[in-house]
Amino acid sequence: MKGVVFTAFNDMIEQEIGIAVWDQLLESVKPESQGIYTSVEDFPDEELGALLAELSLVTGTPVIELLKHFGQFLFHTLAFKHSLFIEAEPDFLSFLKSVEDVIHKEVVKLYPNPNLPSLKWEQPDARSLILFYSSPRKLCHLADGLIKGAAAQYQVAYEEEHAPCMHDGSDHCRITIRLK
Amino acid sequence: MSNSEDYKKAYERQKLARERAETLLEVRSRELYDSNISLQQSHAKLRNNQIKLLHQEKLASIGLLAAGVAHEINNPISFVKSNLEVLSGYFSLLNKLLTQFQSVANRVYTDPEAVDYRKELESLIVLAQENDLVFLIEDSLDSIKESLTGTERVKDIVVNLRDYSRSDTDPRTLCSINELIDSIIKVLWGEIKYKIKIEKDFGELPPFYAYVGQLSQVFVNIIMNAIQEMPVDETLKIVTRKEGESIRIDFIDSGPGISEENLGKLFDPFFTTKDVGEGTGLGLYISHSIIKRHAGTIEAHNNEGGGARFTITLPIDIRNEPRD
Repeated sequence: MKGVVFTAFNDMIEQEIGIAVWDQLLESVKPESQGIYTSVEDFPDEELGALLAELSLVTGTPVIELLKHFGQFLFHTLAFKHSLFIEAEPDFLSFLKSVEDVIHKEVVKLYPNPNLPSLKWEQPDARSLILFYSSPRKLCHLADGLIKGAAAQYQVAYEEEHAPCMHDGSDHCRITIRLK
Repeated sequence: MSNSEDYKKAYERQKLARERAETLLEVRSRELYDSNISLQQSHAKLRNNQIKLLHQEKLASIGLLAAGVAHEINNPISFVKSNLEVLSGYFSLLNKLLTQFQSVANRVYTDPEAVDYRKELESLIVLAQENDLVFLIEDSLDSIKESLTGTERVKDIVVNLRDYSRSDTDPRTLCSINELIDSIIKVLWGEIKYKIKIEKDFGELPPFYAYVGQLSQVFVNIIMNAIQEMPVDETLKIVTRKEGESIRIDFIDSGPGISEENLGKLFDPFFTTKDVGEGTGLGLYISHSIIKRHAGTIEAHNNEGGGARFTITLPIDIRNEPRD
């Protein structure tokens, strides 16, 4: 998994709960990387899973909720670092469509083996969009949080339907977005 | 300020420094990606140009060959034409004799009583003698034989040229290196015969899997260079041998040799010692590329006794994949 996910996770813990909790998580999980993360490296997926599980124990918040919350935080981190992609898209739905068509293509140019999720889309009408998420990591709840972060960025309200889901045995998640 | 606040500030600074370094690295990576794409495009363009150059060089050497080949073809064609003109005259006489004979035959058939056989026969004999019928027949046969030899020579030249003009995109085919060199010598004979002598020392070689048209171009380039560099009536020695798992071909000339300075540049593109407009400077460069495509090597050396030696080594193993 890309290091930027780990550095953003580190930042979120430090900013929202405190540096002591981050130290506590590293002490308990003892990740192979020792928590020394940079955005330009790759780190094992398992480290994020273990840190999330430990955070869930510490805060008493379910992992799914933590992932959704982290998704929003991650979106703002990425939007700040790569504002170009936001500026290039005039609205929320066109931005979501550009994730697979533009952003992931750019990531592939920078990183030879980025293991990106697939995020195909269909647009039944001007105010709705269906995203088809699939990834062996099954981080669809992180995707939910990222979508929420994007909606906040574009200041739009929306409804989301997430079914079927990879966590229920489907080979992909169908995420339907409808603008309010 | 407390100690922990100092550490916090230092930590924040370090974090910002790391983020700045990461951003810089991403920018550089993007630049590298762009440069790489641009290099790939340039590489593709260069390859394209190289194919065009190869073709142009071939056209240039065809131009050089044309004069010699025209002369080689012109010679037999001239005497075939002359023989046909003589034969045309002979056939007019034969026709005259045959007409006379038919006239006698008609008269004998229509009114045998009125014909003086002896007199008619004598007039026919006189006509045959006057026109030297025996010589006419013998010379006709000679002219036909000579003309057939001439057309056979033209056919030979055309067949040998066909090897040379094979398309660059033709696949590798089994061929005899000795026969290939022989056919190139025949094609170039018009250029060779008034300038240098050729001494062949061909060893027994196994069949070789070659891009025949391209390999012919290499032999043409080397022999033409020798013709241009060597003094008149000197000998170009061509030696072929099987050496281990390779075929070795040596072209040993007795020209002025190659200066030490030029030895290292000989296979560089656009390197030529000829006057402006007289050489493309691509002949040996392309020869080098072609030999490399056959997984072989080509080297130039000076002989101890003077003159230059070009040595081509080609691995026999047909499983050798061509190198581009």
